[in-house]
Amino acid sequence: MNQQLKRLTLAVAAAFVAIALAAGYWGFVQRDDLLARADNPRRVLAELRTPRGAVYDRHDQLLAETVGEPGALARNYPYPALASVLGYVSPFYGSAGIEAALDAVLHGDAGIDPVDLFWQTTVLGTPPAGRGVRLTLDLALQRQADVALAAQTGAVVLLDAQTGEILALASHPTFNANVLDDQWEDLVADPAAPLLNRATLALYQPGGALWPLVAAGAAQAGQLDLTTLYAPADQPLRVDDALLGCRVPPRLEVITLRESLHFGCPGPTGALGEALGAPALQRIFAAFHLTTPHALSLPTTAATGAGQAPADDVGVAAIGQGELTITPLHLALAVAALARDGEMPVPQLVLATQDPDGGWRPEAPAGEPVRVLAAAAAAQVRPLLTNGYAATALTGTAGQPLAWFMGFGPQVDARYAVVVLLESGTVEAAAAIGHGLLDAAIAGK
Amino acid sequence: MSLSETRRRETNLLLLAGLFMVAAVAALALIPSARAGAWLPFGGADPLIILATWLVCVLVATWLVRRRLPTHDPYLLPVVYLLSGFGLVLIWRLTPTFGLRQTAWLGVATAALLGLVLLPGDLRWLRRFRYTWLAAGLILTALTLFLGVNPSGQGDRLWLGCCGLYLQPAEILKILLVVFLASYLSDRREQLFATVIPGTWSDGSPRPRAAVYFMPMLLMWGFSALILISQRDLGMSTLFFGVFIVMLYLASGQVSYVIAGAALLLLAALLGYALFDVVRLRVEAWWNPWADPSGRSYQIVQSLIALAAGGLVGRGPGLGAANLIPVAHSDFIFAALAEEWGLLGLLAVVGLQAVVVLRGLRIALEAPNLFGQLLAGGLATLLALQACLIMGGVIKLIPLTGLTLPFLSYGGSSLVSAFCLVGLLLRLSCPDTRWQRPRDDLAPA
Repeated sequence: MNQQLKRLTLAVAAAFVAIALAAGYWGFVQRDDLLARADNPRRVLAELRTPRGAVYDRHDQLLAETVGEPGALARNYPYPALASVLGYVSPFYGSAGIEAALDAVLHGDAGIDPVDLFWQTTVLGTPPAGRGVRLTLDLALQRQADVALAAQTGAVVLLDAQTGEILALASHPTFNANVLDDQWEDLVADPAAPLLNRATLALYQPGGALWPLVAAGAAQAGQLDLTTLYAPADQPLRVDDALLGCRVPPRLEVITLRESLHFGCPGPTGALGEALGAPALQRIFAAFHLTTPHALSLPTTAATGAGQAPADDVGVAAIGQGELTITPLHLALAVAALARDGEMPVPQLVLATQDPDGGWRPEAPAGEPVRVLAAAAAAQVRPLLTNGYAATALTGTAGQPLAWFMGFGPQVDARYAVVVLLESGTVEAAAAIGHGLLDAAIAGK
Repeated sequence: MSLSETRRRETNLLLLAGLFMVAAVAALALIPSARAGAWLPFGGADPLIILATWLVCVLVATWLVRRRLPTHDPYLLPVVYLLSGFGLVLIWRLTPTFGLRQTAWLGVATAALLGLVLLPGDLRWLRRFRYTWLAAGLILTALTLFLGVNPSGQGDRLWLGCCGLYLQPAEILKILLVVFLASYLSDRREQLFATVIPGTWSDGSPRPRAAVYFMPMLLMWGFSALILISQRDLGMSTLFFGVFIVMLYLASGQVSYVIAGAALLLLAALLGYALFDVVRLRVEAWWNPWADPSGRSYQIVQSLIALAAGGLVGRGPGLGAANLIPVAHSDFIFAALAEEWGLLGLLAVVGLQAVVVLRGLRIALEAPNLFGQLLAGGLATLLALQACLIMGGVIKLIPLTGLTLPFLSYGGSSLVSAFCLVGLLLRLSCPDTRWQRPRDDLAPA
């Protein structure tokens, strides 16, 4: 009996030691991973007592702030339509958007010595207050984009083609982050996907929006002649089981490439793509950064393996009805490259962040502009986009085609690039939105 | 150790426990100020009620136990009261009304402990009428199948309720089962585990095979298991099985029982996994909680995050967010403790639980007869298994089985049961009481 009891004592001691070790594993080894989880609300709950930093637009207009008494502080978004960019910070549903990307600054622990942080937070119980973030957005332009989109499903990207600073980034439908916790279940279940930022994360069929880029690639290869005549003018192209004809009947016998873009006739661009060949087409897509996600302070995406499918018909790929899908952000930066002599800027959304001592520190651009195209090639293609360029794209479903608009301004020494996408709107509506934004941006300069 | 030395040691330990309680209650009173970061007037008398009740219970219990059992174990009372006082503090901080209710239960539990300690004469009736006691426990438990309620209004109906008081009969049944097994095994040890081939008694009648002697015990144990399984009380079923196996090992000295028991447990787990949703959910939530962290494994994931949030020194009493874990005051009090008191607090509780168990095993080693050895060993095993099952479950060492953490978790039946267990251990630790007479032992171990 004594031997059994002694063995039992050892077993019990071993079990207790195992529990202590396992607790240490979670408390030490896995600690940082666990604390960083989105379903750990402690960081957010701490902001009930310590205010989170504010978010401003480029002219110091307030976009997000913390209001209320310590102990019951709450996040407030004076301009809720910007939710797709600003995101949210919720004790129940984690955080997203700028609130997530700039959390270290907004929460207040960025750039603070870990020992100081431990001392202030854990020992004194007075964690550092959150600090401000200034975005590149221009609230007036953003408001104009949101008003113009209104109830239409789509996205708008307006950026400074020189610096890559994004001036307006709209995605509709969107949500109201002020009442997120009440509406979460509905938002998640909503088939219109209001939580999705369509400008940076939705991949769309480019369709006609791709044609100027294909032309630019041909110009780069010395194979572009805008005056070559193609016949018949309305030669349709077979896409899957459908025949794709001109967007606007041209009433012409023969047609130039330039005219084909105006009327939305796929034949010439398809022929150009076939002349260039699949590898060249793939190089053009890659050069315009269409196959890789852009780095931004928001999540971005890109189609994977686009155009690599052997079954992909070269002509179909060239007219933007192949495997390649892009986000409006992709196209906006490609337009910026065409507008700026072939140099693509690096997109930027954060202009400056606040130091622990309260001063503003400008945010360095994420990289240098990249030359994607010779200046001469850009100059050759630029006339195609003069006064804006509208196009449609067929989607896989039988629904209405996508309406794209892309443009830049001013026409001489271009400074701004805009892309508008409407999921079920007309190209005229898209063009109106784009022109309005370009005019406003130029007027406000 | 002389009597006065033992007394002094117990007094010193009680003083330490008292110091801890004063400090912990002071911390409770300071919580509102700590949260606000500024001095606030103390609100409410709850902390004082808790401290006063605890003090009265400790003083009365120590005084009466010293009178009745002069040479009792000096470690049990201080450690048990320290743990249950700590429990009161933790529960009150999580849910103040539950904290006060548990304070009242501490009075009831102390009375139950003293009742067992003060009962005149010896406790032979406990041993002699083993079937009666166990049957009574079984009937009470079986009643929950028909009349069972759940005080929270939902969930498993494991309680019997009347007039606002709720009793979980299984908590009492588990002690009666240990008493039954200790009694039966000590009386029938030779017949059960004899290595000689059955022959005939001296009067010529045939000796029954050992299997026959297993029948009553298996029958009684089988009833208990059946009731608990039909209630889907996973924790209690596992606990009963584990205690049964360990006590068989203690009585027989054959490791094969433990191996067979472990194999059976594994088989039961596999069968349960295949047949019962409740088992499958628990196992899946244990094996990969990250698969469904917001759904079925929400509790365990939040528990681990709480552990991580606590780190080494914890976030401070009242400054954690342990209420995020569902039923933090009961099954998951171990995680709530880890968040606010850190790994240091957690290790202290693991250590203190170990002290109670190891003292129980020590008492078993020093018990003068087989029944005393088996009873003390069984009770210590019960405590050890229960503590390890729930602590291991909360930190994802083993699948979660719903059990209370002895002495700390919220729950009146659980606290009373744990104190009854300690009352029995205290009696067993005092060998000069008359109730343990070696006369009906078959052979000293």
